[in-house]
Amino acid sequence: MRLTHHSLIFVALLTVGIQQSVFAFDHDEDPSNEIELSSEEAAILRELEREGGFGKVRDIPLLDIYGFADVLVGGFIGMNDHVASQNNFGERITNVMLGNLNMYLDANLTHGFRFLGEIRFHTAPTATSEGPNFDGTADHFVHSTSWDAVDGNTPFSFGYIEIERAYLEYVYANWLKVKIGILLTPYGVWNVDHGSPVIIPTRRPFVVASELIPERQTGLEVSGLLSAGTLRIGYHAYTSNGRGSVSTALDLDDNLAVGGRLYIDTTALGRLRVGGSFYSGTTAEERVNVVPESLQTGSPELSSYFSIRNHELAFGADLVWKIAGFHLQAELLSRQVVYDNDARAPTLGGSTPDYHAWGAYGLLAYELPFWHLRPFFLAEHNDFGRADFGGLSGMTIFFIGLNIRVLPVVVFKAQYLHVKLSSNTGSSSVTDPQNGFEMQCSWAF
Amino acid sequence: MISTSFSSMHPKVPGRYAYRPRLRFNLFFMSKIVFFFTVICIPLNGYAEPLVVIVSKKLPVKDLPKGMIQLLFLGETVEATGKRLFPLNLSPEAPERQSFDEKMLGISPKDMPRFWIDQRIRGKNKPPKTIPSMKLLLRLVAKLPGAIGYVPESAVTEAVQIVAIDGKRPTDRDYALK
Repeated sequence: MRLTHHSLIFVALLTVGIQQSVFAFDHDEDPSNEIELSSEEAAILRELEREGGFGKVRDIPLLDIYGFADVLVGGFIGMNDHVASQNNFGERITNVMLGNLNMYLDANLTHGFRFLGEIRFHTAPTATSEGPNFDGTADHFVHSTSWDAVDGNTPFSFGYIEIERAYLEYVYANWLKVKIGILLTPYGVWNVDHGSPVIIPTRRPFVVASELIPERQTGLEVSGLLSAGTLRIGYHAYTSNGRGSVSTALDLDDNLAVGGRLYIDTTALGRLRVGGSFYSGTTAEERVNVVPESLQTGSPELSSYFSIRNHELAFGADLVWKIAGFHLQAELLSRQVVYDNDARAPTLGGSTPDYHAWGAYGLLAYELPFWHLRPFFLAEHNDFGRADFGGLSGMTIFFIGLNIRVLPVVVFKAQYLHVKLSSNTGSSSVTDPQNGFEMQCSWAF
Repeated sequence: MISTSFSSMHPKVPGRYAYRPRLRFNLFFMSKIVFFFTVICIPLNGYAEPLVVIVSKKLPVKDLPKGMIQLLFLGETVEATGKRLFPLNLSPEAPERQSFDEKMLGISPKDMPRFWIDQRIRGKNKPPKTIPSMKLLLRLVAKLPGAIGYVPESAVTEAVQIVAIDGKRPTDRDYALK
């Protein structure tokens, strides 16, 4: 990431501010010895110092480890062959799959600094779909079996580890917090509320999963919250590498993405939050060529070019309203993508045109006054804005289900899905409606 | 069951007195239920004595908005007179804690664990530090200038001071923790 002059000035000011704050803390927070404390009280006091930023840093900060996980049972019922061939659910209604196994690493580093890391353990690439070979056949599913050399070469399946987020946060005050690292993009409701125990259905809507705004970014974020009576106004502003297959480490076209979010939260009538978000950035993929002339010189040279490059502008609006056991949640997302003419993403027999995709969902749930039963209904619509989704141009999904929080840390969910697909080609084999049933158990630990 | 056996001791008399013995018994029985809920249950679910928010006498804070106290005890960072406040909670079983959670934060004791689990999964801050006894909480608040807690008014010591909420003192009629 190339830092601009403004970024450097900002970082310098931030560093000076943090140093002054830490310096002031050290001098202010030397507790007097007027009150004698017992050994138990002294131990608690020491713990408070380590957790909360009292006194000077004398110890390695305490690290909290916690997380969540979920297992899902279900799939689509009577899915037609065309869709099943592109989907790893197929007609297997008895699928049992480990969905998430996420672990948080959380440490207050004192003086307003905090580290939060979240990693997800995947069983992937096992069960991801594989394209056909040149002879027209394929195993269909990738499997990741290897052999354990230290245990008699017995087979085992390996998986991936994904960094969901990993950042250092500095809290100057509630109205000014700064994060740097890999961040969940602060837009809407669902992208940050991604832990399965806290979301109501078994899965997030497709409109969120399709990342009309990137799910996470590597960069710097400034946020804050101002309050006046029952009204709170919050903001987020960020800059990052943007999208791209290597965006966790590189900004290939030296063009930082920017985005922000503004929301209002009030407790005057239940709990109501309304927000708006935007994101603007470029996506670039790079390839290299050997310069033909350099081959004759005996020292080959490489030249790089953008194989894909586009500019995008995305907007989002969101609403959450909780009142008297009701939970209403809605999001609207829009993404406009414009390609450089010489760097369009390839498709089968062509290249991706400029497009405008949008989608929206609405969720209504009601928590009954007994047994923590929460029936819910969700409807969403997606317009892909182009026809390179296997001939699909849009999708409408309805969920109806039940969420039962049997314990504060254990949630059971069951839901029925009805999916309506639309196609630019008008092919009925693509647009046959699909029905599915899923049950999920998720828990926090 | 009791009512039946009681009726068998007083054979029904036709006419307007037919059900009087049963009524008298029910009133007696109901008064016992009312007494039970008054004496036993109310102290468990709603703390009768007003709670007060306290800080160290070394901290020059006399008044805090209710919204700021809510933010603080719900895991947000709050400063007063340039100093970061550090909330201290009593244990979840303490009736004072349950009363504070309901009256100040609007969250019932049974929903509080769920609230904090959800907050942590969302990547928010951890709950305020729980202090095992009120006596210890008072001593820690006195010792640490940024610490803030709550106790019954009668438990306040010389080393701490009461903070008004939205300008209201515990004696005021619409005090938030009454």
